[in-house]
Amino acid sequence: MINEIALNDWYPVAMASELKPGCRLNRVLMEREIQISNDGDKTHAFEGSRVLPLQIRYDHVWTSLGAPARPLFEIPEGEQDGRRLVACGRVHVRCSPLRAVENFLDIAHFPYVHTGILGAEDHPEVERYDVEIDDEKDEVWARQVKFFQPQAAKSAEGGIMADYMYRVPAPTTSILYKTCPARVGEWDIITLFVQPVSETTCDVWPWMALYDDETPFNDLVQFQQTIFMQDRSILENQIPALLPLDPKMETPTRADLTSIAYRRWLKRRRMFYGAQTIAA
Amino acid sequence: MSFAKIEFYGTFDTRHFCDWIGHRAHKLGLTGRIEAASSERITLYVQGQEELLNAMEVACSLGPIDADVSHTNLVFIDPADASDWPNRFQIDVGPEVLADRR
Repeated sequence: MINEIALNDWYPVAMASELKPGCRLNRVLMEREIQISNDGDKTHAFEGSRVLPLQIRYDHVWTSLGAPARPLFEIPEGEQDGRRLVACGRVHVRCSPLRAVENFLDIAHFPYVHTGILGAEDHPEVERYDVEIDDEKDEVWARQVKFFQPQAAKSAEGGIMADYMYRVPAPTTSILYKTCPARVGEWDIITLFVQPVSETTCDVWPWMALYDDETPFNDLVQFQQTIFMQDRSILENQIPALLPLDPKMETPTRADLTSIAYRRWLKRRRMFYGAQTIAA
Repeated sequence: MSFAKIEFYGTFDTRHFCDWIGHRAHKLGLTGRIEAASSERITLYVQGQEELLNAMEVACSLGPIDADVSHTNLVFIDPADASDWPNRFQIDVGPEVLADRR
């Protein structure tokens, strides 16, 4: 269901680096065909002859099919000196865009889906953590998340108890703040920008802002792509395909509090594109 | 076996949410009762495994599509203080409360 709420938000549709002068890209955003072009001077977005709003932030091109009601969210940490900004490309996934975000928020699957990398089967416990909907910022936050990881990042050697924070600043964006192995006291930033292609398909654009001067760029991208490709097989087999906003047939537990808060927030915002709004 | 009092605050269709809670309690195999309900607060007493009582609170913190649960409160009760617990889940509120549709 495309409603005004969904139309009036910002969505990623390309990496900024793709838009060479003279380039023209065709994309699908919420079932509508749009074009992104670079005339050598500026980048433009169109739906047919209609000019769409556009901005370039966080190494990606963002547009909207409507009139955005609020500015694109800020990621201040992404502008700190010394960070490497890594746009990881696009992964096409046959799942609801909201499912893609929810999966990113789920820690409990790490030991079983990302075995030996983000989790270990002999350390499946999810300790209690704090979740809140920040009404002032209109965002979802999960804090004090701790989880054992055999290899928390490309630059990590051996297992660590990783600290996490999750932030959902927009319905199709999730930001992970994670223990930085290379710089104590700082957070690595890993984001998932999701482009809704339809209610059941999406393009995912991972982006990272890391303190890591050593790992080759391609290795960083490959690490993130590996993680996401492991997720993709799970995401594409979830039933129902749409994200249920009434958990009548599910049995969520304390480990799922972030997902539950995310769904409650979507319901409150009336963001139903990619959501199932009746109990199955 | 654990006993808990769980309160939900927000805005909801009382009857729909009470029915939904009853369905969830049955699904989790919990016994107990809804003791007070309005369109802004529902109070229930439930008995079962501790993890399932937590699962009850988590599921109901989202609730049915027309419920907006702002916050929840779960307090475990000393079994010595728990008496007269029904052996199934029941809704002990009057029909006038359940008729209170928004």
